[in-house]
Amino acid sequence: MYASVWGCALDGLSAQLVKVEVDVGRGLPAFEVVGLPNRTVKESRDRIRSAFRNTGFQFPPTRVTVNLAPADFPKTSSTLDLPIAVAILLATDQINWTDLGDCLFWGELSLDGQIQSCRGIINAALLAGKEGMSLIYPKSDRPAVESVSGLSAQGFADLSELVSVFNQGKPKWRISKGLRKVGVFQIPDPWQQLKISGGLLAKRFLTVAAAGRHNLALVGPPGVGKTMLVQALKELLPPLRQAEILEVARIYSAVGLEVKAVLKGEPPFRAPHHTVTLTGLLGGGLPPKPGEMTLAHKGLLFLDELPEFSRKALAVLREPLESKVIRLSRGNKCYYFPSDFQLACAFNPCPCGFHRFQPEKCRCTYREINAYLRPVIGPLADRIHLRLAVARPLWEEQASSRREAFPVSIEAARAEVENRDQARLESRLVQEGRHFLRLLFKEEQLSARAYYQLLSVASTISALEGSELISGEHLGEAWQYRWQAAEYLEGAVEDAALS
Amino acid sequence: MPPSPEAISLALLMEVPGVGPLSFRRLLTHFGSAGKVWAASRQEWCQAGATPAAWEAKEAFDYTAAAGKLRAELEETGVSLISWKDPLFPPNLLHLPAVAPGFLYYKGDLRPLQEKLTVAVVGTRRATQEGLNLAARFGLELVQAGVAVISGLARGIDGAAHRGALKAGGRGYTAAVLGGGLARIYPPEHGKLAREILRSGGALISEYRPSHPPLAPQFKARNRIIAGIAHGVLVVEAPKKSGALLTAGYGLEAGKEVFALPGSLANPNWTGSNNLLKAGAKLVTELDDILSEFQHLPFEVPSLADAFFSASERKILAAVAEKPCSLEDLPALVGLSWGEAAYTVSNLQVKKYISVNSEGRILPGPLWSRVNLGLQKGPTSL
Ligand SMILES: [Zn+2]
Repeated sequence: MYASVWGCALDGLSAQLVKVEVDVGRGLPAFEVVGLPNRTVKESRDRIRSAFRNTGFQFPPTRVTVNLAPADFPKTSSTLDLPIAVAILLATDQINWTDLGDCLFWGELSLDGQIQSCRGIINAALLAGKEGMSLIYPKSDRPAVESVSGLSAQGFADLSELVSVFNQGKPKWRISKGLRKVGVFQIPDPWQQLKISGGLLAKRFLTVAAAGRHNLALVGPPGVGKTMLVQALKELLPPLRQAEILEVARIYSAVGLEVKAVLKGEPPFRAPHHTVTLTGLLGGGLPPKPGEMTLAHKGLLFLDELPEFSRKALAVLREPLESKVIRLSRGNKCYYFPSDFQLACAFNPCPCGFHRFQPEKCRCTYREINAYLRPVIGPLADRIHLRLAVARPLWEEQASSRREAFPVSIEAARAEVENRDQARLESRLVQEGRHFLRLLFKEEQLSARAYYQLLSVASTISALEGSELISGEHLGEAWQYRWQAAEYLEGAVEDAALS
Repeated sequence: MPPSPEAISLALLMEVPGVGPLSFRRLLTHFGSAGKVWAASRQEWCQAGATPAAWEAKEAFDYTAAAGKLRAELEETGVSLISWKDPLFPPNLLHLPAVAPGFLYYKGDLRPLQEKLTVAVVGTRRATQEGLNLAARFGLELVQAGVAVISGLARGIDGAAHRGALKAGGRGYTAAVLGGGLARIYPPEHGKLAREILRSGGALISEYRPSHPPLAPQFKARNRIIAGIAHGVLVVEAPKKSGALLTAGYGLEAGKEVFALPGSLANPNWTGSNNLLKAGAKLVTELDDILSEFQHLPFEVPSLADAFFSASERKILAAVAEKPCSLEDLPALVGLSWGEAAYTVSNLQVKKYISVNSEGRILPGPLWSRVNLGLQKGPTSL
């Protein structure tokens, strides 16, 4: 006896339809799965057998062959448990309602027959929505499934509940309404929360970074609170847009991360340790899973102790910083993983950490410092728009700068920044700004790339100030966030003893 | 700001067939306001010295419709209209009833014309490179010294003078008087320059309604407004028959100071300038030659040394001279906004007058010694 139902499996970031065919034939009891299943899928035999036994269904005591089509991509997840089980129940007449051609089954079975959630639910829901199919999924995944609007779906807690509903005929599908409007984010005062008083320059720096999504570097001796500043930045980031939420949620879901915060609009924040592998950053495996750079899509990627990362890891960072996408080839197939992240990095100026900031303590030689900074200098540093030297712990700041954070709407500024044509920023320059840029060209030998970055930062500042035009003041401020710590990013460090 | 009814009445009066600049003047002097002119009887009208035919034309004129049309045109083009009774009207024009129009169309900011010493920089449209450079230089130096630069936005010297003034980076003031309507910038290639003038806080001025075409005779007529608004006229490069000489002539008639830059005898492009010098115009080789003529006027003309460093630069240099301070304290310390302080520090830092250490302290920079020079004596060169 033969039966088939639809399931799906993750292939990169998207779920692919898998036709699950079951043939229950004569012969000695056996359970065979063909069609490029991997170990997890093969293990489903044991889970399905136990689940049947523990929920009172009969597992056919004959030869059971399962085929997963198409056979051209490896199926790694346990989400095919449910469709295989349903197909067997169909083939052995244990379900009455057989009109299952428009149903997409998704879920792992536990030994006692519970339908459990597993990674990729958003991806499966998006596939079902795209194909116009009805999704049958683990009940516990309801919030995630309901974020995909217009999808007809029904969640079940266990196999017997599913069968009893299906035996009564066509189930009542729930049509999901999609994401609820993200309310205006009640941004708590991150400065207060992190007890950052004073540090006006650092606060302004982070505000600019948050509004413009500029890549940034914080350089300073150990223990001055660089990490804390990045945490403050994370709090300042405006919430994800409606359109971005599912884009990010599907990435999170594909690796099995909690999507609750993402669905509320919280931008991703990833801070891999410097021992992270190349695969961990880029993504990998077969079919490939996204890495940290993709997990930070539309959010912040924080690399603390930047020079400690392997040279190869720093080299692979460059490409996505420019193209916002990672390309992975597997056989004759290419996977494109979005990786539009904002890079925040922090590091010490030299191996001991005190160079230039507390020169009397630093015993590093010119050679040592340059060897330490070499992986950072050049192409990577070129892509970092904002640089800040953090000299003293912020909580030690004098109270002289009593004025607290700049009262601006980062969210509004971000919208304005994204609205501006980055290629036409020059048209917004006022004369005074041109004048200042010419001065910079002459005195500082500004590169073309640095010029455009400076312009883009100045444009963000002008947006924060509510100005259409980019004035000298905006450029002057942008310059203050560019020259700082330049020697550590541009490779001109001299021996502290010499300077 | 919408135009006052008086300004509209004045502007429309000029459009009545048979009312020329002369009769316009007569009518206005006789009646005192445009409103009364429009209400005048035939007899009163003729007593004022205007023709009966013009009165017939006035009576036939559909005032309400024309006023509506003009208001709509102003709104659409973003142009303002003021009469001589408005406080913004350039004060120098008020003293010239014989030549001045009673109303002006403008875009931008006219206030600086109330407060600043104003010098017209004019010259030929077919200028030599040398002349262009000199016009730009004097344009810049004048605004740096706090003087308003006005000109005619024409090709050649006029444009160069405006551009020079704009080089001061928005801290100078320049205004252009056009020979046509403000919605029809002439020459067309100066449209961008006109926008930059507005963006820098300057002004565009015309006595013609925005849609009015730029016709040849009007350009001579606008020269009298340029001369009228200014306290002095600087002729940069003028051949024998140049509109710039006309401007200088209007200036002389109105009792303005007239200056000229000397040029080579062999170059016919300077013949007009040299003749002007021969006739008694003041010869100018440097900025102080101009400024010294206006010492008697109640204007604050800063010396060149002040112009070398801007006011905010001097504030910051003075603060740094006292003790090193940080970028964070600076705005409060010297009373500047955050942006101004950042801009000024960046400028001084790039020019190496100050340096900022890794702790964010602002210290005297490699060229600090020149700072004192700049503060006290002025620069050796610009
Ligand atoms: Zn060291």
